[in-house]
Amino acid sequence: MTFFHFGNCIALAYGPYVLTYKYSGMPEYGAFWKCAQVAGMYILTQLCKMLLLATFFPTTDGPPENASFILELVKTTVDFGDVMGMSVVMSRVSGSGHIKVLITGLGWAAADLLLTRTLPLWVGARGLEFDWKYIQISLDANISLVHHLNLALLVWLWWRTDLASTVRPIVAVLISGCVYRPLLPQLLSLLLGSRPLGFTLLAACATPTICTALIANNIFMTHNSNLRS
Amino acid sequence: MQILANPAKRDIGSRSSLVNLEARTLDAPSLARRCVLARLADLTPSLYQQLISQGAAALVVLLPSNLLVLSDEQQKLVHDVEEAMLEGDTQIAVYLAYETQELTDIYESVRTSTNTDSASSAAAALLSSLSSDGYQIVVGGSQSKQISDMSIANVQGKLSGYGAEEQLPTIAVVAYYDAFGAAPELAMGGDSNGSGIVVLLELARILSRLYSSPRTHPRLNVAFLLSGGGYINYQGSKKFLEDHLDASDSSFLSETHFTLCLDTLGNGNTLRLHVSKRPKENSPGHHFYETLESAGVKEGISIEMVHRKINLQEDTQAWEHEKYSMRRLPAFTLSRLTGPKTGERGTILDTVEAVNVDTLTRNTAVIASALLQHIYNTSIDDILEDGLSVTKESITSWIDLIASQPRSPQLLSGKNNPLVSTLHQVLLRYTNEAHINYFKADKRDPEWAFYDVTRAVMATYAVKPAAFDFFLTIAILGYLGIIYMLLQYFPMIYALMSRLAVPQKAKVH
Repeated sequence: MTFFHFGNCIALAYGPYVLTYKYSGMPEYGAFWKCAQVAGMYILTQLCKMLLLATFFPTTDGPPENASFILELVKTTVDFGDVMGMSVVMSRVSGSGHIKVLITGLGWAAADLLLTRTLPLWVGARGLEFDWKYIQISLDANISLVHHLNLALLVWLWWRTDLASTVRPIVAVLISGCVYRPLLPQLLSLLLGSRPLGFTLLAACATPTICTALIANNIFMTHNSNLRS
Repeated sequence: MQILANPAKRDIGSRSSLVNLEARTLDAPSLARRCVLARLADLTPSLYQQLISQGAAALVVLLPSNLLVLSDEQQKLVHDVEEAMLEGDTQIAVYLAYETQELTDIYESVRTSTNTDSASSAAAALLSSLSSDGYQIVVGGSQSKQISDMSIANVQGKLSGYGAEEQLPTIAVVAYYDAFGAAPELAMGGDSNGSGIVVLLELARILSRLYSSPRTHPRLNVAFLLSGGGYINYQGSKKFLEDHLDASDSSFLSETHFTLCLDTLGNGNTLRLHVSKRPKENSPGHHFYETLESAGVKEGISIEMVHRKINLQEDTQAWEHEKYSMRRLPAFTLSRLTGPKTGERGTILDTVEAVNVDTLTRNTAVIASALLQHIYNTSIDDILEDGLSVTKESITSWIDLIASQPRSPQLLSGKNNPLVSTLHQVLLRYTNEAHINYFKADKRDPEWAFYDVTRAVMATYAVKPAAFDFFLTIAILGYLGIIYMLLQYFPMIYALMSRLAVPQKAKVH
């Protein structure tokens, strides 16, 4: 029944992506090829980021818990490359507002899922040993979908020239929040004294993501109604 | 983790080596098609039979990390269990493993979490099976099969007496060097027959000194044989006799005074000379018995002669000397054991720690001085002086060398076995004409066959029952359904949220 478990994990991880693609009106725009292009851009961006990291940051041995927070902070700054990559993609993809955001966000998230989460699932979840870890990876993939859609939306908002000047700082703060999100577990371990594990960590990651999503949505809607009025 | 497998020797032992089963402990209600984990102390022969009849598919016996801590009663029980295991063949895979911390943890969690087969109702059973962790035990590799080209080695050497070698009488000293037990990799054979080898090597060392000096060069040949296959009906001695008696040109065993077989000498205050036919008065054998008695008295060892007729109806011989007696050579076995089937030979409990080095040193000295008194026909005391004396250090180093590794016949097979080579080197140093004689079972009518996979690596996985995965599927489908609904009604939700957001905007302006 182990392959069955792998199937479960895959369904849990990929199901929301497929559903989002199917039922958000994207097929009507023939967005699949565009999503693939976005994924290509994702790979290119990751390569550039890796090149930067490998050039400027020597590898530190040992478990990640021991690495200093400041060093990690500087390293994560390289993730602004994602923001730049998304901006470039966004300028190339044609389409109206929300479709643009959906294509970029979904393409980016799908590429991320394929490249970072499929292999651990394939290797681990098919094994005889049962571990909640693989269900957690799959749920994390769902959070990551929201996160990437979020980031795409924020980036799109940032490049709007007609964005109200009062919300621009909020957008900037949210973008940096999204970029520095990978540091959350470490930050929590610094604050709480121990690193949260398993489902607690998952919940801890999901909460800020959902909050950001709600705020970004609010800004988007306000912006839209501003345009209309 | 180190796991040691049972041999399938002829038709005793376990026939299977592959395991991929769920684990249970002995107190589980149902053991059918399960891998049973059991502590050695909990196992009894009747329980073992019960396991097999209940249809357990594999058994992992957890040995205490130190076998010596067992009380005498427990040791007796272990002997009985071992005997039950080796009584016949079984289809289940039997593994023995030393109890490490990891194994203890696994055992405890299996015991507490999986014995839920008896639930009051089907629903309760389902619920408990969903919440509990199962443990899957996996031993991979290949199924055990017969070792096709197994060889057994005889290591022999000879000290030639002064004069024409062919005309001098010969004393043969024989000890088998293999070991046996429920698990081949655990058969260390400390007392049986590590002690016999040690005595033989010490005799070779002492005699080589005396033979090298012209003043003490006796008119007597001494032959040494470390025979292989002692636990498979003394195949080494059988082969040795065939080579040297049936071949007409060999004078190796012509006119032997007697053949002294050494077997299990590392404990006890009584040494017994087991004979098939009482030696006549004035015969060399009887003379040796007398010298042994007188040497033993000085050290406080009593020497007994035990007579046991060879039963020609039996296929196997009880003592090694019976092989020689059957060929009409005067022979006897010197051992501390009262009889051949006391269960102290061929057990996994017979480790190097089971040998009392002090006793073995004393016994060796007694045997050596008796043999020297017989050879030189003197009764001078302190015949073993300075360089010739048997020291505890040398005995310790010999027994450590020999009994620190398993010596099951299948593990000693092959041309370049380190232990056999070492024994050969030792005899090469102390005797002339030392050589190794390899032999194999007859192709058409083999007298023995061994099976491989003597050691395997076991992995334990925490697993969930299949029903758990079904429930997981249902939960995931439900979750995806909710997402589907959300997306379907997204325009509605969006409108709702817009209504909530826009008044906010109105407040701002």
